[in-house]
Amino acid sequence: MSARASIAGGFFLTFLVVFAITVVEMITLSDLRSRIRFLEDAGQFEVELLGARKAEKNYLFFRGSDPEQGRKHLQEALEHLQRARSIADQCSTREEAAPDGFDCRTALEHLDEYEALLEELATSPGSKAGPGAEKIREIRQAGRRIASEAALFLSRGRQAVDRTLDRALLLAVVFLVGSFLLMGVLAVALTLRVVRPINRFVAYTRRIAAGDFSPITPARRYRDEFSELAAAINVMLRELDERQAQVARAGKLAALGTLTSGIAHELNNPLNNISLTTETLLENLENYEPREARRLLEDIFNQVDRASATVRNLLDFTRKEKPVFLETYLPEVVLKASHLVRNEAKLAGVKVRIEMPEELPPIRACARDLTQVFLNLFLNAIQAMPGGGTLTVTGDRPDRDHVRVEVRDTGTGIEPEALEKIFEPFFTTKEVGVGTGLGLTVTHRLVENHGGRIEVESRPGEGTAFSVILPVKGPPEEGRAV
Amino acid sequence: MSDRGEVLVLDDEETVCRRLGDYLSERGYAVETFTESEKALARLAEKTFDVIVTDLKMRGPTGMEVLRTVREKGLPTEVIMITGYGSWYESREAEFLEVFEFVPKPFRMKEIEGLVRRAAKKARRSGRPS
Repeated sequence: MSARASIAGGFFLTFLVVFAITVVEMITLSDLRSRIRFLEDAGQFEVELLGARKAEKNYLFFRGSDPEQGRKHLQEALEHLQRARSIADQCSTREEAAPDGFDCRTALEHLDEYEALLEELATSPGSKAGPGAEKIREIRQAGRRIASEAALFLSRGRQAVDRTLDRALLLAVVFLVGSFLLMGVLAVALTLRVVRPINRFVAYTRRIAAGDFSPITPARRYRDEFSELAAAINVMLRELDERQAQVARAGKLAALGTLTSGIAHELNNPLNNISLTTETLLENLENYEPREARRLLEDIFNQVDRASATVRNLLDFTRKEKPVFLETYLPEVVLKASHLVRNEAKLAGVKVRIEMPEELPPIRACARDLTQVFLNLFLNAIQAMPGGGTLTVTGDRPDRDHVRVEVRDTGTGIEPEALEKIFEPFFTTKEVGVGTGLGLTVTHRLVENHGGRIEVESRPGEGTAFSVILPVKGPPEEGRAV
Repeated sequence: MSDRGEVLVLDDEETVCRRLGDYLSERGYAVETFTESEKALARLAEKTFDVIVTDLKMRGPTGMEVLRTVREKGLPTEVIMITGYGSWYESREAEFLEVFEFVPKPFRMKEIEGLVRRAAKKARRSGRPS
């Protein structure tokens, strides 16, 4: 059953119960009304009968002393009985309203009997002696009988009203308790039916947001809104998965595009220069002095060197060789790299200061790769100080698990906007033909491969400091290809 | 003023400036060469050339910006764009800005000279250089 049907069913059930209770309550109230009416009639009936009996007593009292007065009282008794009869007649036409065990006809018969006795007195010739003692006893008996009957009706009527009122009260209590229980059951059922699946879907969305695109499984086998939602989410997940794969492919293509255009630019420029110089030589070879021709040929050589440097850096950049992680002493690596740049430093008038503390622990690293890292950083530093300066290399241990080597120059520094891009492939601030834009990219890659990181700090005009931070224990997963 | 035409050569490769500059001068053009686009743009503000031969990708303002400047000023100058690696989008943009020709590197100086000659004639027909 769907959640919608469950909710509609629940509300319909509630309505049915409320409807049934209201109908019963209405019936009870209309019952109550007719019973109260009966009670009123019974009360009036008793009042009339009591009046009739009082008049009868007065007649019997006065009949000897004042026959005229006695006759009046007899007449009054008959009038009371007349009114009582009309009430009882009305009552018999609405007999259905009478309480259980009440019989109007018997009451009317008894009334008839009493009335007949009194009427007999009224119509009999007015002998002074009046009715005999026998007759009087008969009259009194009939009067008592009908009066006690009236009292009985009255008390029965009261009991009936009380019972009906009790029933109405009970119904109200039943209604209150019943609707409370029903609401409770409905609330719990709806919670189970709706809120619980929603919570489950909230958990799904968290899982999806975390990048898990595996399909979700609905908790129920039958079809409802939630199983349909699950199916829709699964479709979305498939699409998302595919889109993400597409984005990843597009990203790779874009990276390849950047790389290709960079390579094209970096190779086409020296090729173009070679082409131009060759064309110049070919056109005027006879007219050139040997010395001048030699200069042009050297120019060609330089451009070949430049092109091959790009290719070499590219190979470093895409190298698939696995690094070999061994126990490595950083001061040795730094010293070796500094020897490799000795000539460049001397030519640029750069003083090299190396302050690597003896107590630095050996780290798990690939000495070959780290040598290249420091070689690149040293060459960059020297090229940043064309007018000479100082290259300072210091080592320390920022915490138990890491060592840090800082390479600081007193060169031109890097502009803040360029600082963000320095690790991107083919980004270079160097003169045309000096840098390939791959050195720092390769350096960054190699340090990352060691599980380390590079930080850079620079002030234009004051110099730049690169910090290489490496874990003592080596990379978390060893042996990834560069 | 040269008979054959006044040419500005702009490329951050010094070899290009030197070789192409010499080549065109020897063939009777009045040539000025620049390796920095800012300086070339400054010179353009002073003097109107018949032809500009410019590299596309340079540090600072690119060849495309030089071409745009020429068109914005409404100069009668023709622009020949040389590039190490031009994308389809860039060539379309250059066409939109009425580039005279889009030439990939490496190129032959002979080829450039032919283009410069035709460009100079076209420029002189359409406007009067100062």
